[in-house]
Amino acid sequence: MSVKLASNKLEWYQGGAWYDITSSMLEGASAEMETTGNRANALAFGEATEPRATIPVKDVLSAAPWENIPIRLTPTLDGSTAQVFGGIIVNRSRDVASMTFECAGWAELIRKTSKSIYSPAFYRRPAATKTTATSIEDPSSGSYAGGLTNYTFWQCGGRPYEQAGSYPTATFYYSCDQAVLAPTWSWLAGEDGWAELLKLAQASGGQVYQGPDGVVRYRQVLGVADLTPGASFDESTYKSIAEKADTDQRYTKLTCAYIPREARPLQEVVNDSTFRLVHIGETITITLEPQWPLKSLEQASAGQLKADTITAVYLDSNVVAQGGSGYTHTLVVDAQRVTITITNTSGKPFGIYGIKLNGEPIVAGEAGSVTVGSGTIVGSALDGDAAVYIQSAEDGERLCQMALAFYNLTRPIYTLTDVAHDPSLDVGDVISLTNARYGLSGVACVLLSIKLDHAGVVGEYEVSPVTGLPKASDFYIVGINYTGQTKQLGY
Amino acid sequence: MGLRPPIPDPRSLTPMSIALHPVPTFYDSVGMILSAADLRAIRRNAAIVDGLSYRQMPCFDSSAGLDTYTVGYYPSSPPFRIWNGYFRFRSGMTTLTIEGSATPAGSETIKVFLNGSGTAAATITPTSSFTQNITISGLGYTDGQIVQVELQVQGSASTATARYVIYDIYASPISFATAWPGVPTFSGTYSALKLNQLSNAAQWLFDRMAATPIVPNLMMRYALGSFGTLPNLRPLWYGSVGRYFSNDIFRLFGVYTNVTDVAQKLYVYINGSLASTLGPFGPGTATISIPVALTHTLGTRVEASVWEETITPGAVQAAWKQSRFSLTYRYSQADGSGYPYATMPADFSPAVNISAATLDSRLNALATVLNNTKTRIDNTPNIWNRARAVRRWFGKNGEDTQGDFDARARPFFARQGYRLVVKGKGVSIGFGPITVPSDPQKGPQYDAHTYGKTESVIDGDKVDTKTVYLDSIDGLVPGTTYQLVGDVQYAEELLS
Repeated sequence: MSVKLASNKLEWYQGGAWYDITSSMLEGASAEMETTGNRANALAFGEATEPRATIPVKDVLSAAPWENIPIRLTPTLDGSTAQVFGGIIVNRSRDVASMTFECAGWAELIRKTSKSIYSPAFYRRPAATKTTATSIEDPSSGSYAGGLTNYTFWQCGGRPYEQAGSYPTATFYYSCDQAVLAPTWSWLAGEDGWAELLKLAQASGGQVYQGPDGVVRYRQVLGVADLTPGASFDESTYKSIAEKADTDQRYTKLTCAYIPREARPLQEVVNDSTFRLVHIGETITITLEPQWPLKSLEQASAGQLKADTITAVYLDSNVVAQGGSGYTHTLVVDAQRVTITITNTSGKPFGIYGIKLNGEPIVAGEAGSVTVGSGTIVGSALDGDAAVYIQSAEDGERLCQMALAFYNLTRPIYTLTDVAHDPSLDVGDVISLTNARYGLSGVACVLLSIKLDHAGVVGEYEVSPVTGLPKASDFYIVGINYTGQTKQLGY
Repeated sequence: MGLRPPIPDPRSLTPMSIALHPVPTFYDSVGMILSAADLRAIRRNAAIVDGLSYRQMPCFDSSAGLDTYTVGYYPSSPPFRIWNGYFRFRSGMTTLTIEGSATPAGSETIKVFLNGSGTAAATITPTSSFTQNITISGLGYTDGQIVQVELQVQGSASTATARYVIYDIYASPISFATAWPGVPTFSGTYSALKLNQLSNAAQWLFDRMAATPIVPNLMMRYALGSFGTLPNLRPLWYGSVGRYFSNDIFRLFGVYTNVTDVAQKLYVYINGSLASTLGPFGPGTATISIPVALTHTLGTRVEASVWEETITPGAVQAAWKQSRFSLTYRYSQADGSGYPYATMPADFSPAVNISAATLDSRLNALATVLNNTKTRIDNTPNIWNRARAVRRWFGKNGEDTQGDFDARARPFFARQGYRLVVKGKGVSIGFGPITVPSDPQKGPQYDAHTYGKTESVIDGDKVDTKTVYLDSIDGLVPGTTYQLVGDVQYAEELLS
């Protein structure tokens, strides 16, 4: 649905900083965003937003770089400022006097930039770790213990929303809950990072979405039902309401596939016999991809390979020594890639005849599956190859248990139209909904989508009740004193 | 048949291997929900390490039948070999210990040769009870090196009927540098510190036990008995049996095959005394399953031997009609009451109300299980602080190899481990149903038996050392018994 915004601030990110280009903005901008494209289940794990915006601007901007340039749109409504879109420019069309940017959310940026990202292998690291004002999010920190979701966000230019003050020029912000599940091993190896994030979210009972404030969030769905309604809506604040429900994802019995992964002891993981000539003073970069991801690589010292790892020989067959009199090297070890740079410091050309690396590979075991629940409405807790992140029967069981708690009834979605939009609301927030026709009286519902119209004042909401869902507050939380209390253990 | 296979408590077995269930790191202050699945994994891990701490130990092999240089059947004069085998040196080991018993014929000595050296590393004066410690820390062995140990009787004596029995050969100590994390006490707060400590304690125990190799003894597939010819009473096996836990018994399990019309008996001697008699056996096959209670000092080994006697002689038959005793299992294992495995607290279930007091009780019970396991390991150094040597096959007359003999007693495992380290030549793993081919002229060819499944490990070109990841062998699930076929010098399983 198109949205016409009256008072806006438009910025784009050029040369490492955000620049205000509101003066070049033309009327007719529109934006839309929603938490889930999966309409069969309002709280499906792994679902995500795909926000889009169309922004007409003056042709005066045509000389500036625009391809994949971050851009954000922040209207001011009734004195309240709230960003409604953040993303990158993916398409530009021009006519004689103006041009129009077609923009996609940060998912597009992550999708495009993550294909060059290789991560270390994380062991039993939660799919996402909670971002706080003090959480260590920079993977280059020696104390880094973030999940693969956090790692991906950071490497794609995101910075923790809770630490926004420290990163005023961040491309985008992200915020994560602590994921319930921790795959035995997880890593990135040049894949579509957004797709991997969705797999991770689906395998850990979470959702990844971008709200209108531009913050990309990993939300652990057990927390949704704990949220206090931020606003109330009844027949006086919306014009009409429609209900729809779908049984496509209602199950009483779920199966989950898993693929065990284990680290094996030190052994040869790369045996590369490619010949490479290294001229005097030249530095070459060698990228090697082991068959299996690596838990570790054998090194003489941090960042330095053992001398017998690289077979380097001068043209007269004499062996080239490791060190300043022969060659120096650097080493970067990722789970699925080893990058070695070799600099000829010997004063004579030499050839590299072979590289043999030892390491601890992470191998896949025999795939299995678990089934939880009973009855005849059978489904799968995971779609496609998200099972790569379920690496034990136990994790498969807990995902099924958690999924059954969410999928065991058909949860309706209510569409509210001509709503007096509350700019403080964000997708993912919980509101209180009242409607006599549907028997709703102050029912807590999660906001699944916000589509604005009429200059951002009137909009359309999609909401779904969270009544009856498990809540984080039902469970014991690590680190809290529960003496004398009764709670539940989580999945 | 009363057989309890020498594998750990079945609770320890998982589909992939005998391995701990992964447990994530716990964190405070991030809203981390205490997961029933994670606690269940810790509970399972506690059960696994508790079960594994009752490691069933094979008897130590000294010698076999009368044509393998055994008690009462030695050459009339030295030198001759009485024991040959290998141990695996690991960093931190300082001492090789040889224990045994002898009734010397004269002034002969037992020379110990290590790693093929022609110079004896030690000279043992044979007595009724001897212990020889040899310092190995300065001999230049590298971590993982497999070292030969050969014992020869040398000197001057009329040794034909002398008595030399080796009870134990082991290297020690087992190095494990990581400090025991201890166990927490829970009281209403489930902090990351305590939960991680509990989880780490199980991991520590597993890693500690994984540092001690699981070594095989020799499965005597065919120990030859008599068919009425002299001697009517003959030894089939000599070695030692340990008593590691108070209710350990000696268990001999196997099969007797008599294809003639003689009657024969089987005797088990423990610590020099007749402890059990089985038979007489007539023609046909019979199961051998002999439990013998052990009463000797806890934590020590005593001599054990198995004998066969023809009590109703028959006519001299063709050689293939000699009776066969398959002395497959010779182990220390629990009596009928089983090992006193820990009673585990009730399991953890998700989304079910549980009071903090009950949760405390269950978690503290797990802590007790883990702490008791640590104490048990500490109190059984004869299991956990020793890497035992493996006897090479019972070669004819002390030789390295001699045709048929090579197939009669092979290293045997009931799979417990994740990895197998094996040194030898032309080695394969055999398991599954055994087939004995039959020759129309010569009858059953017992020494040419084959296995339903074999997996080549080391080719026949040269002696090599290989690591085998046992999960990679289809069908070799934990608990499966298997033998190593070929010229095996040493083998060990490792838990991880």
